[in-house]
Amino acid sequence: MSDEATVTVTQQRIQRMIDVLSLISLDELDPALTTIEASGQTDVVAYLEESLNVFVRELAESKQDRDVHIARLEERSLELAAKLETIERQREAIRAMSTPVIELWDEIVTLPIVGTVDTERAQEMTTRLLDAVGRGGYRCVILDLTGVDIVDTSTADHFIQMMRSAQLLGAYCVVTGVSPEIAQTLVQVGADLGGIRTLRTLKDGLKACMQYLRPASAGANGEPARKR
Amino acid sequence: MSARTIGDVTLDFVSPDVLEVRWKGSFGAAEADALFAFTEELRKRPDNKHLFLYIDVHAASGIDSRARKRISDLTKARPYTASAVVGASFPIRVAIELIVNAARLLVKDATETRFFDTDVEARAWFAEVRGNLAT
Repeated sequence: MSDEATVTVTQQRIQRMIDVLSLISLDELDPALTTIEASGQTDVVAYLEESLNVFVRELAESKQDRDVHIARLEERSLELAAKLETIERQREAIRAMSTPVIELWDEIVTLPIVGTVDTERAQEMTTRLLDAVGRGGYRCVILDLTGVDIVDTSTADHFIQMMRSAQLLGAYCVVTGVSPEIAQTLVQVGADLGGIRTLRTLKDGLKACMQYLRPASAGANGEPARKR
Repeated sequence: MSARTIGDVTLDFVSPDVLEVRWKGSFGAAEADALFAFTEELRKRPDNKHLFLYIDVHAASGIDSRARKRISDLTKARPYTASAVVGASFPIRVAIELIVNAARLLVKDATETRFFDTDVEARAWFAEVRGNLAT
């Protein structure tokens, strides 16, 4: 067939190809709708029709693969979101556990500190402590550092600020569990502990608080008893 | 109901039964969604038994694949009695005809859509359709 040859084709065959292209434009690739039935002819339009059939089939396979991948990605995305939610819940639980405010006795609470204290944790602890003192009516606070190995400048500063805040609300503050290493650090960083008692053990701290709370008439040795 | 503009497309209810769409630039999924939402609001109005869609595409430059799918859904749902497309360039006309043709293949009684060169011709056709509905 020369390049100049004229091809006669019915309007119906052209329309069928337009129909297939129309469906493709909307991602409708169902073979039942898009396959052009063989006309039995072998003219150049038949080549065009069969080529279109091949491309639609391949496009349908490609779309199916794409849909499977998208479905998998969506599934993984949901799994990931669920895991992140679990992690967030666990973080919340850990946060609550890492900043416990424990009622030790009537009007006495303790904050047992374990591990390092960063700014975020210190703020969380301060909030919980001030809430306990302000709304819970606790009058004595024991900051127990028995579980703390190392104190750096920043951590020491957080402790001091925590105690100062509680004092502003009228609480009697005691720091216990101060190891020789911590004492050394506190001195080195020039921490001002004025007005805050430091004692070796939690037991000592509890004794000091009970003495503080004892009615004036029952006042004994050491720390003067206060009126409630 | 006041006019709404999404991207370069403005939707306006210009007369009691004609929604006019002025489509400039490319029509994307956001514009198609807005058209869908606007149409849904119109369908809920009890006073509009027959609605007509007038689309001015003089300044249209294209339509993306997601928008094509959404518009096909709209055409299949038949919220409009008739739709007129005015001022389509050849590429835009082909793009819209592909959608309309596919909708017709998938749903036999999809919305009738016609192409016009002028606003007058389009409104005359709407008047004719209204007249046929009244008889």
